[in-house]
Amino acid sequence: MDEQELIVKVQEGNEMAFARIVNIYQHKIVNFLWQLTGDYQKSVELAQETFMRVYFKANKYKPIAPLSSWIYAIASNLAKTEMKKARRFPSVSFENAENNINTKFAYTRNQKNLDLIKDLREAINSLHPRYKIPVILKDIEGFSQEEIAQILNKPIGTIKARISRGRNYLKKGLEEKSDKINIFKNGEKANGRI
Amino acid sequence: MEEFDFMKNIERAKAPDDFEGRVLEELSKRKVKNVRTRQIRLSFAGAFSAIAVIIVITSLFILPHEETAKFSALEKGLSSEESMIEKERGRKPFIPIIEEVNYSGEIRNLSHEAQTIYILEQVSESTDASIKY
Repeated sequence: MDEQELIVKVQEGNEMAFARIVNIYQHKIVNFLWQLTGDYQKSVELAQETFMRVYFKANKYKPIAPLSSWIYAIASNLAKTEMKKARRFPSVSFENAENNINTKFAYTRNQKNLDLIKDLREAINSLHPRYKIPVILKDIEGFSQEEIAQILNKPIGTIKARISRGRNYLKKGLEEKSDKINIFKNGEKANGRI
Repeated sequence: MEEFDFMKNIERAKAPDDFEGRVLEELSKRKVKNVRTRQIRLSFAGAFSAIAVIIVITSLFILPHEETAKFSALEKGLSSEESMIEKERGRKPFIPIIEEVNYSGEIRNLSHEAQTIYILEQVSESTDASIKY
């Protein structure tokens, strides 16, 4: 049964079809929300709310866009509201997520890579949601620019600009962090510690 | 931009093991809540419409109606002003007081002309706003 058939069944009130959709998207949505909010508990709560809306607002879904775009749109709207409510951009709490973080890395878990990931995460969190959401959808979730435009309901030109600007901010943030590390290391060398 | 491909390998969070169960549990709770909310809404709507019906019935059949009074006056063949006066009389009874007026002090004493009394009357077309006692 494909996703379109599933959502039609959900529109009829079929809970089994809904459970199937939850099963397909649960990890993707929790991860997406975790990347956005940086708070694992909050991301689980928001994911739950996302699926509630999928069930109760299923009749509003129109099959002009893929189901995934619609679910991600709901999730990103919830995350945006949450971020506005919090009036701050929360930092990542690695401790909360530790048990549920996928250990599938392209890098080996050495200190250097952990530092890089930590820096990257900090740089992502420092981005304004305007740039953070498109960058995460593009570079972490792997959506195309057209799909992101559909999810965020914005013109494709705007999305392209936001992705590009967001990436520049990320790059700048990472460069600043690596400069700081180099200054620190050079200081240590000069002191004869290294 | 290939230099950002490494971000696909960034750490990913997974949903908790019991997430699906939690969602379905929450779904059944919300369904019950929605049914209750709907019932409350319906009862409120029913109460408000009953109040509205009572207000309409009261205003139509119990309270005196302006339009019906006018219509009854027209049926009697009275003009709207007359009907208003009649209505006013019906509402507030008044006692007529007759005063004698001496105009002798108003007479001008002209030497070669006969004595003339000038009586000033209101000639405007507007309704008489006489004082009622």
